[in-house]
Amino acid sequence: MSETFAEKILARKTGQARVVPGQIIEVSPDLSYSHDYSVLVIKAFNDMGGRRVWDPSKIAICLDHGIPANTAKEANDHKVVRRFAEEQRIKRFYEAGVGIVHQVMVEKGLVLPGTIVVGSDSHTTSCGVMGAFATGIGESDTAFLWATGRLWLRVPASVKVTLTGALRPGVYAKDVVLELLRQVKGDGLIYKSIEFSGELIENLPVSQRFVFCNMTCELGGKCGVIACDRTTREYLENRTEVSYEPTYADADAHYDQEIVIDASTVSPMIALPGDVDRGVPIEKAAGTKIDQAFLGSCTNARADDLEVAAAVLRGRKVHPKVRLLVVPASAQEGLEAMRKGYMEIFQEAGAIILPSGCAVCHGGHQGVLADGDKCISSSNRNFTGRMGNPKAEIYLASPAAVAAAAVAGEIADPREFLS
Amino acid sequence: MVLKGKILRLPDRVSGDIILPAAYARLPVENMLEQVLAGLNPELPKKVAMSQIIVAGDGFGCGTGRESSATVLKEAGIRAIIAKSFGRLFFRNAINRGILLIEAAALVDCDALRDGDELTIDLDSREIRFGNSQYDFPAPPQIIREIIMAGGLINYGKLLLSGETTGGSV
Repeated sequence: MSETFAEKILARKTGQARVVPGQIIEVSPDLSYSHDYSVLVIKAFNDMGGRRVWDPSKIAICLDHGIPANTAKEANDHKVVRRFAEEQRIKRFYEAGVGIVHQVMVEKGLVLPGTIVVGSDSHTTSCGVMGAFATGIGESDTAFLWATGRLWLRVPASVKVTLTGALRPGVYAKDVVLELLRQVKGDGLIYKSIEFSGELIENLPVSQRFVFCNMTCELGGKCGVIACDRTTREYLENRTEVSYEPTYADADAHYDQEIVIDASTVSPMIALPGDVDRGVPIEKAAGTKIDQAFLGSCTNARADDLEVAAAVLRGRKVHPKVRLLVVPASAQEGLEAMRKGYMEIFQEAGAIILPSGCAVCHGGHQGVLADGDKCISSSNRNFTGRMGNPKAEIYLASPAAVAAAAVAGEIADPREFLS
Repeated sequence: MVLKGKILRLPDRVSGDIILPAAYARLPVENMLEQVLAGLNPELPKKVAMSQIIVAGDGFGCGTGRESSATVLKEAGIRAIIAKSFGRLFFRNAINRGILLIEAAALVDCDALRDGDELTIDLDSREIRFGNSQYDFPAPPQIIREIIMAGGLINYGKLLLSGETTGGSV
């Protein structure tokens, strides 16, 4: 007893009575996924002398980074991945356009409570939203796992983040996570398993809960988890037929640190360029002219995010000096937004609508910035050079703030645009 | 194992994105090498090539999980990185590429340490030697040691799959 979520699930999965933080263990994950970078995983797999993957039913691949391909090299890389999936009988292969892998894994019901999920991408922490132990691993790590079924992990210490209160109008999960980052600093919870709970979490839908688990990796966390509850079960109801056994931390578990934030005291935030922890109340940056607004990424581009942005843009136009990129997190989320009329609002307002994928978030694809450009983004990272140009600047904010800035041509308080 | 080499000092919070932007992540090694840390300072690709050990601050390699940020440093000849802390995924990736990582805040805070100075890292006695000074560091876990000694996870995987090791050290 007295186990945290991470200790309990890792002990259970390794057949040990107990594991302790710092201990090195070997696990066999329930799901291992990758994206375009599978091409590097495949190379490492071949270099190791791998022949068959350990269990094709536990592997999923979704092309999302460079879609549709910009260059012949990219197209050829995709071809290598497709062929590998076919040869290795990996049935869960998702083509370009289905969506961003983290979103796709969750919405297809592949991520279940009480399971271990690894992905060859830092934002794999997102999958903690389903009550899974989910963490990013490297490409060599993934190849080794696919070839041997084995993966070493260090048991993390745990931190409890309790989010109380309710959000005020114009304030979203993103603002709370930017406030949390401001308080603890980037990588302030490095190597930790972060357990999010409290009244705010209980009342949020999966889509908004996702933001906390997603940006767990900006906090430095190894994984970020929200315990399976009614919301989780309802979300999974029509998405999986597989039974699952949730894991819960014990009430008397030991945490290295406990953090409490009253969400009702949080106002719209913006992270200034350079680092994720440079959050300030948005009015402090108001008036800063912007060149591009990016409404996309695995952090904040689901139907409810698009709904908020559409509410801002309804009957308004994107500022003539701004390029607004709208990239739904997945085709399914995009379809919902389309049916509800949000996409029509974006198109009418003059936005550029792009296929579901990572787009410019990682700087390798559609929407790269020019020297001196300033971009407001609903994504998760604003490091120098992140959007493909070290001479450009990135501000992080909620979808509402991104839409407001796109209309105003400068950073503005989104509350002024939401009546 | 004893590593000896010239150091390059880098600041706090050097992100994986600035070590190697995504646009270069899947290019041939020579193109990657031209870009390593260039976003931070255009002189750095040359300086990295002349160094074997990086001494950095907090959160070295933070952010992206792209392994290319570690691969490019290994290909540039970096054999060890000493920092106050590492981005979590960079930590795994660098080890998997055969780079020794050491958390040693006291050494990082030593102002006397300049670019081009020579350091010796003794993995067996767990000591870093610089001039007359000496810094201890904790032993890395056995699995990490074995991956480093094999020259990275790909070689380690090769040994395991060919039956030359059982990898039973966990």
